[in-house]
Amino acid sequence: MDTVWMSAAAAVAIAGTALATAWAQSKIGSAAAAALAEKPELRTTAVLMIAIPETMVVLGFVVAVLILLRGG
Amino acid sequence: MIIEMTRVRVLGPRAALEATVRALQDAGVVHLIDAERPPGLERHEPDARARRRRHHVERALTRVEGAIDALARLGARVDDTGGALGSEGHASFVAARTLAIATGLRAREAALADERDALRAYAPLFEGVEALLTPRVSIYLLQLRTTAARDALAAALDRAIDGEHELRTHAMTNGQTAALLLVPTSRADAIERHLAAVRIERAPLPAALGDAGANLADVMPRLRPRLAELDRALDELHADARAIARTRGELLARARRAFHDALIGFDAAERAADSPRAFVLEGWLPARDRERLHAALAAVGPEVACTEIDRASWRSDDAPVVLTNPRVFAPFEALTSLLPLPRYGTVDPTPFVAVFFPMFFGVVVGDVGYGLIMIAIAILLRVLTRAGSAGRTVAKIAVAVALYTILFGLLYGEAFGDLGARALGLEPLWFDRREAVLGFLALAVALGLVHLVLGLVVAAINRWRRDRREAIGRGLTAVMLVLVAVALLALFDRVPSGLLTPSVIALLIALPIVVVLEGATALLDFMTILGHVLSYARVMALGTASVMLAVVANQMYGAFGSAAIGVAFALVFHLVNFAITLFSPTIHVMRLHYVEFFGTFFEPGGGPYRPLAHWSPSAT
Repeated sequence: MDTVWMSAAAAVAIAGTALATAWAQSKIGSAAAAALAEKPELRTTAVLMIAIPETMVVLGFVVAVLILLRGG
Repeated sequence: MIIEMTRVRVLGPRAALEATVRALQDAGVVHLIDAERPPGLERHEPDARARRRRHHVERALTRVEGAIDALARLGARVDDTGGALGSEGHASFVAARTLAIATGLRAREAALADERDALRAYAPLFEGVEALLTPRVSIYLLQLRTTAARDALAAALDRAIDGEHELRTHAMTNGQTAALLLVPTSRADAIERHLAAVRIERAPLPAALGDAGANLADVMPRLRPRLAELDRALDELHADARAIARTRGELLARARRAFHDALIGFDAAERAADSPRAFVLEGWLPARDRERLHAALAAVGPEVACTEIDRASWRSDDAPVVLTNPRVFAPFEALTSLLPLPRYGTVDPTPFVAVFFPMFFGVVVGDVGYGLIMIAIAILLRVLTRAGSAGRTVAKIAVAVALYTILFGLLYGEAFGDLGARALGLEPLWFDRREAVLGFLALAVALGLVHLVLGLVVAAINRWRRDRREAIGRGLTAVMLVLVAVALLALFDRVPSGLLTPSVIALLIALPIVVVLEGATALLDFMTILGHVLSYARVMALGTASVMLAVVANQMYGAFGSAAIGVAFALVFHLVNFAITLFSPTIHVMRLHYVEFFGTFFEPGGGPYRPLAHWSPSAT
């Protein structure tokens, strides 16, 4: 039973952060596309802004790995 | 690194201003700024003669560039072989004549090309028809508005004359379809009635082949000779243009350079401050180029003096920035150039990027097989690109990245995932990251700690010249970061546990000092930096994902009944993983540099160095 709960917890950790990242990137991505249409010189800033929310899913991945390894 | 600049002031008699500007152009080292205007000096205003001359030069340049552009559009390139321009008036006259001739040639070229294109559109329809031209065959050239009209016509012909016809169609550039219909003359009346009934119109004949009432059978044989004639005429026209470029091109190129130089000189003179008797020019130049400037001004005369007014303070906000790096680091300027230039007197991040970017990429990807493919791509790119091009720069960066990928591949014992271990017996020289996931995470965070401590130390050293209080604050923040690491390691018994208490006490002492030195925001800044250290966990996350995808790719072989299908799936998976490997780590490693690392020391805001120099085509 513990294994089931731990697997579910790891899944929630990665799924929640992945959804949060996707939502943030969708907002930033559409805003960045609009900004780039007017100011193409902002491309570097745009790429960085889009990459910033990925920290959430990275940390989610790390937490999921820790749950599985500690539990296993 | 950012090279040392010096600010200079050039003074001289008003009459020597033009000669001085020309000398500065020859030297090509001074980045002019608006000269300060002490009492008695005003911003330089060109007199009526100078304004007239500028107007003349601008008009002449328009003609010259128009002529060169018109010749280029005719396939005749004008090369600048150097040399000085003789008479400006003669050059302007020749440019005007050449522009008129070239414009005429272009108009004729357009007419010939239009006619040729129109005839070429009919060529596929008329191909091989001449052999069928007998009195027993009637020919119609038709114009169909839609594809459906063509199908309807073909079906109607099949019904009306039992398929005794040939229908050829060709899409025209105007969106309609031209059709050539051949039918037995005995059926011509029936066909014409049908065409009239369904309102299909005759297509107009190309004007070059005959008027509207001309017999199609007479017209068709003229098509090929006329096309050949047009090709010959176009060849002759282009040969004429090349001949003009050969005889007048050198003069035009010299004139273009001379007129551009004159306009640059006018603009430069307007940055001077002057009085009826004297002028002052000010600008920045690399300190190493001072002798070159003095030599150029000496040629103007002893009455022109040059003094240094702001040397090596490293504090001037208006000093332009020149980056210079060793050859091995220079390609990585392409990565730092994506951000604004660093402010003068701060640190050029290029050497750090050159060291850490390939290393972090290697830590993430770490695969001998993928590294070898990257080397092959880099070599191919190098062969296919010109020196100095963006492609050549990418090739150089790719070599460094690939070498680190191979190095870490050997340390992890990976070649195309676990294929190297299974097929070649490749053993990890350091650790197997598929098994030691936590160890890999520790490595990633440790790399982040080292990277950010280095950034803080660089910031402390750099700010020592300008603001010692801030420099001490940055240094103490670096020490606090190390203390946090030591405390955590002691807590988990990775270092002697006796270090825990001293490191926590030191941390508690350092924290208020930093707040006093840098303000209350220092606390927030420290927490942000701690978060940035954790952000380096992405190195482990991306690396683990990369190796696991490669392992899954290898498991494709044997997962299907057929070995060939398994190998094909494995190759596709590896290809996808390799593509992800090229893109994702690049973005994330760049982000770790731009956001986390640069955040510790990078100060943007430098202006580009644009020395007053002679015009060149690449400068426009």
